[in-house]
Amino acid sequence: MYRYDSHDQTLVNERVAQFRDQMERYLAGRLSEEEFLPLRVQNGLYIQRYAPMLRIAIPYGMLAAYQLRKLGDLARDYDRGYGHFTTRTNLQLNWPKFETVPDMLAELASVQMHAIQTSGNDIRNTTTDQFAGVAEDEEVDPRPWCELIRQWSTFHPEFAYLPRKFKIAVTGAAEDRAAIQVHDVGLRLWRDAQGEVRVRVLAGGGLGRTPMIGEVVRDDLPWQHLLTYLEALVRVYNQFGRRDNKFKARIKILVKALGVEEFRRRVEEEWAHLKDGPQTLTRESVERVAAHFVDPERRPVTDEAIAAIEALRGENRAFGRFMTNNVHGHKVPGYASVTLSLKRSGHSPGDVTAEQMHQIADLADEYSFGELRVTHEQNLVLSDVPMDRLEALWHELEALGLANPTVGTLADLICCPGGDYCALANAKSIPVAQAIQERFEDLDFLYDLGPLELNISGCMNACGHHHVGHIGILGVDKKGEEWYQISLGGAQGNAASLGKILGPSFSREAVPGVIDTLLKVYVSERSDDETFLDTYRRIGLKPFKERVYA
Amino acid sequence: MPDQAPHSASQRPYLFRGQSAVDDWQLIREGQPAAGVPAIVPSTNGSEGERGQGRAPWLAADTELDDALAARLVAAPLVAIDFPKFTDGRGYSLARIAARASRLSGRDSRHRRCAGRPALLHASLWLRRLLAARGPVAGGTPCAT
Repeated sequence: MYRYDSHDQTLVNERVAQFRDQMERYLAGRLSEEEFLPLRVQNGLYIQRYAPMLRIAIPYGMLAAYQLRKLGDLARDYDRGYGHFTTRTNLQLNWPKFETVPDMLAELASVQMHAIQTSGNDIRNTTTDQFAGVAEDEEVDPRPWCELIRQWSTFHPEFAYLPRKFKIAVTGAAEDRAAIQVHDVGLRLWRDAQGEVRVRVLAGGGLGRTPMIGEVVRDDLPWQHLLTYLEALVRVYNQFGRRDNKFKARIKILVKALGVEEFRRRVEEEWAHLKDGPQTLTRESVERVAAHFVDPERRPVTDEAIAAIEALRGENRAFGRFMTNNVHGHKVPGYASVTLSLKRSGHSPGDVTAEQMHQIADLADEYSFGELRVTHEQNLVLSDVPMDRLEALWHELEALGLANPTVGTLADLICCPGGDYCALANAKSIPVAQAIQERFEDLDFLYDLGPLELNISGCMNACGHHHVGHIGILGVDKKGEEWYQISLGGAQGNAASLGKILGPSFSREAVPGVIDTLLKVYVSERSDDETFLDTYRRIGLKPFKERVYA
Repeated sequence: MPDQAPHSASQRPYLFRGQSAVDDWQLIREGQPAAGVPAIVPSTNGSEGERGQGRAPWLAADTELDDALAARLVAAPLVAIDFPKFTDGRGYSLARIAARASRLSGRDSRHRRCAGRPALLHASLWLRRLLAARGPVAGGTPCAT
């Protein structure tokens, strides 16, 4: 995992001091609301519906145990004892006291963390595959490249006031687990015939009000040019992106308006000036960063131990369910990645208590080399667990309520904080999530449904990624009342697609029943081992629509 | 941060290479008479005004540089860029492009940003770490940011 050098630490410490001064001047009335706003949002501090909210950056979702422990301390000492992991793999604290935020940032700086650029019209936290560096299907480890992007984009003076926020996602695996097609910029790392890393650059994807799938701007960028190319691309956006209407200010609108050919032409024209310039990456500079992401010293796990775990899987049904759903393959035989489910009936998806944060940190130290990942599905991952310790870990997770064997099922739904917290929301999302989780609790039924992604957003900003849910639910406002629009057929991954709206929206009470009807259509129409998405793609929207509105 | 002591609009203190300095360039908006020197005048005023002693052009945020304009920038004692709004960051990219086009890189350059008035051109914006280590971009500006 990346460790700050003295430059990083100095930058973060100075930012804390600077923000403390800005806060003091604001509280003393020497900075206006309008002047303070862009300063606080660049430090992750929002004003929410009932209270301020602090969004803490977790760069590309990687977290050390000691950092999670500190996050638990912050939730306990400065907030109401819990935090919320977001679809951008950050952590939100929903009840901090405004004036204590500089102290919180100072605490974060002590564990190499910050809240810089977690908001504002700047380059946000880069996200990646939660199994980066350990995935079986990985071609290129994205972590060093994410870190290089982090260093390039953090405090980039030219890009602090873009037309709108800017999100980059990176993957280097055969299966895209980072949703790169629906990001402002998506990067797919791959290797050419000589084994050199190349980058496919996508731009103009995004969810929100106008969902779009990104288009390929460059297919085969040599790795040396990654930063100069990104610089040219963001510069074109900074100059030409719309600033007259914030709903049309994302890069997707620019790419669409210009057409990808013209957008590419402008980027390449700008890049011609930057190519081979001072920001060109050298092998040495990449290796310096990559040295932070070397494999841990994994002890060998014997074949007998692996066989014993497989045997237990057959004997113990509950453990078998956990293995099937929450334990994932690993590039090293004898090791596994384990997803800790933050989706439990009666709890908001992605929420973790301070106490759980401390306990999970201990588990990371005990079972997984002190490292964790945050997933954009709002779960946590221990990425390096020896298989002969899976049973012990499972028992510990069971005791903490984090072993819910439903990862990848309907119950593993994604949900934004919604109208319970967020000032932007049109409708509440958490109660809808909870009602669905309660209605579909039966594990056998969930397993029978197979892989099913249900995503809920409380407004069209789409923090809950409803456009790419197999089933998407969007909270809408109709004459002051909360209604829910349902869409079908969205997907993330290699074959990403945007959901189609089923029809008129529903009341909150009606939503679980509608989901039930949709699932019944699937169950009656599916053939063989078709997933929900397969069936939808084969039969289309009509049969679902007819049954729901019958 | 510099003191917030009262100062006239045309004599704002700022930090230059870590030292307090005074900017006595007067900003002339479109349609205003160009009184006195030194003055920063609209680049759209044509080259006559710019060429005078103690005159320098300012560029609007949406300026698209062409060769003719770039050639005029080369001769200017300084180039200013207008930031119509605090949160409108186009000027930073324009600064990079203008610096390159007018080959200003390497000359003394200063950088400031204030809502409603031009910033002096910084020709080495990309030196992010250097800048940020001194105090991030907004640090050291005379306005309240």
